[in-house]
Amino acid sequence: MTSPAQHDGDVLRQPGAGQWRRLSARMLLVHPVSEFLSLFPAFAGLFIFGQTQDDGMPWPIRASFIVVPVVLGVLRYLTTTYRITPERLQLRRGLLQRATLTAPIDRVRTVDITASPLHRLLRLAKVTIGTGADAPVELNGLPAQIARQLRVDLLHRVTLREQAPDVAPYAVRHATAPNTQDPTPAHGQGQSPDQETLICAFRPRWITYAPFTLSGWLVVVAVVGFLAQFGTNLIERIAESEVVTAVEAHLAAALWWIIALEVLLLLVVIVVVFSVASYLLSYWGYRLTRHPGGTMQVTRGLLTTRTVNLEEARVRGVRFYEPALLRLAGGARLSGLLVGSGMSATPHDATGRAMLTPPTAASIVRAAADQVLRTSEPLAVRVTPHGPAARRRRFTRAALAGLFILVAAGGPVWWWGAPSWILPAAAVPLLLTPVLARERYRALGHAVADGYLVSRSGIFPRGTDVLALTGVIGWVVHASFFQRRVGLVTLWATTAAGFGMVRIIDVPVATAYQLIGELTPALTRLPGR
Amino acid sequence: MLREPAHQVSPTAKTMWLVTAVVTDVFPWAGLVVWMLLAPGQRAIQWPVLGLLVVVTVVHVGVSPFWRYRVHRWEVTDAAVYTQSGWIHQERRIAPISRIQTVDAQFRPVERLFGLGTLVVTTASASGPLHISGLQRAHVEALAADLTRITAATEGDAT
Repeated sequence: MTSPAQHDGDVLRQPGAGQWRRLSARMLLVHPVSEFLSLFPAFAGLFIFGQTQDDGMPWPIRASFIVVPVVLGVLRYLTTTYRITPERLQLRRGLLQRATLTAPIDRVRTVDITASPLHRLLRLAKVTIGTGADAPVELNGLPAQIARQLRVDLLHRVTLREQAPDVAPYAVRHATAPNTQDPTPAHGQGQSPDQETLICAFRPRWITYAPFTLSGWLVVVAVVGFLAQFGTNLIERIAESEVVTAVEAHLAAALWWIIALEVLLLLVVIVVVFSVASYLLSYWGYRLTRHPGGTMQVTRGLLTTRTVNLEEARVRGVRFYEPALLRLAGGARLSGLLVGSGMSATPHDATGRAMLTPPTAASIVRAAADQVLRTSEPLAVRVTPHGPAARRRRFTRAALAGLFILVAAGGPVWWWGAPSWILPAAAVPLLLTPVLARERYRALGHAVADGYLVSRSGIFPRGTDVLALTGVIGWVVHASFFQRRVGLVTLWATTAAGFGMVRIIDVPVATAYQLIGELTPALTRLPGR
Repeated sequence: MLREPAHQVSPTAKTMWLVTAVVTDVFPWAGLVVWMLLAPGQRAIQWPVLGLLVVVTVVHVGVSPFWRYRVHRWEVTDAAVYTQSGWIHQERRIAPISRIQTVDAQFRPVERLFGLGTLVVTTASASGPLHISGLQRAHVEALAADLTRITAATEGDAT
């Protein structure tokens, strides 16, 4: 295997660039480990089976735990080759079933780089190249430096194409927009493609927002679920240990509210520890940057590092999201609404959304959003409220939900004699409904600001969708029976990005059609009456 | 205010919706009958369920096909495809011709039985295609051919 010496040039035009070649030989160390991990369930099964045998496991099986992954790993290395020509990038792989994956260079839309801790130790990286049409081409195991260079080369090529005026109306619109409130120096003119503008970067104090995300709770639920499923043996052993005996003695002596307090404290500590750990693992070193060639880049990760590139021509807007707990802490997060490609396996394309900022202070997220959109108006604008009918609907719906909870709790008390203190507790939601309904109404609204459609709704969570008007590709007007009675509709602006639409809930029917007429005049010009 | 789409669907669609409603409603009725035969002790729950099912069936079979027929409308202009559908829950969908990605003529078995078909128009949005169901078979084919020709002439990748 030749180890390419100099790579400060264009990877695509290097001598020997058109040849079939292997990935880095250092992958011979990585492949056996990953093969072992993927075979681990089978090995674990064999191991447990071996424990039940009287004479232990036969030695060939023991040896296979090492030999099989190594052989598979070496085979994988030997059978995988790639080739980069000025026209296309190809990957050939497989021993028995040979497959060739091809990505035409001028259709490359995403170039993502991932590096597991093992990859990083060996200074390698996995490059995932998506064309938006077929399965992505994965070059697992390029030297990290070449991976970075390849990304620049590929995206530079792509952006040259995308900057044709009719292909990238957004870039053009923004370039000519008079109210660009971007504090950073002018983009795009006379800069080299790897020069970047920092939009947002990780700060250690952001971890104070970590406990307000759900990740810690998810870990706790997962661990409890796992123990309940498989850990009976483990639980028995723990139950017999000295620590537990001491705890039991303590519990027997202590007052019930002290126990409750202790359990609560323990839970909080566990959640905080796990959520901070998972926050650090995911977001350490996070950077959101903009490159003059017309891409944005999100880099993050403590152990496994990820670099995701977003072509700006694919970005149709953002979603400013304040989940329940995070909003209480004054935090938010930002994702980009991307024109997705369902086939691609990269995380952001599965949902058509890409993470732009981690959960952090709302003001920081706002500033990042303003820079991504290149205007601060959409998130600063005062949204148009939806009027008295929508307000009444908030109250009726909240009251119905509260009533449902009361009835659902009251039924068991009535029929099966459940403890009656449940009733006052279950009445609390109903009593809170006026407050919740008023807040929900205040949150509800839409606006058109500086070329973007803005729609906001909800209290816990609250979401604000900002969609470029040029990204609106049609409309759906929903009217349920009860909505029709009070003259409201739910309007969807359909789009190729994000989840396929932006919802404007309970808007008066006349306002909805006025909006459609204003934003897409050609559609409503119907011949004749 | 946007007016309704210009055209109604084929009147045969009423019969088709009626037959479909009858056939689908047979299943909950069969379930209920089996339940009542097997568990005569639970009449106290079974009678209200029966009453509910009677109401649902009457509305579904006796009202919905005709209500649907009054609601379902469509129109294709040189700018957009525009549909209206539903009965209790109604929706209108508008998609510009320039954003159309695929045009399909769909003939499901039930529709074939009545010589009808559905025109399915998809855009790049994941929030669902436009369906014009209950059109005459020949009409669906002609519309599909027309729209395919028009959209093929439009440029861009419709996103």
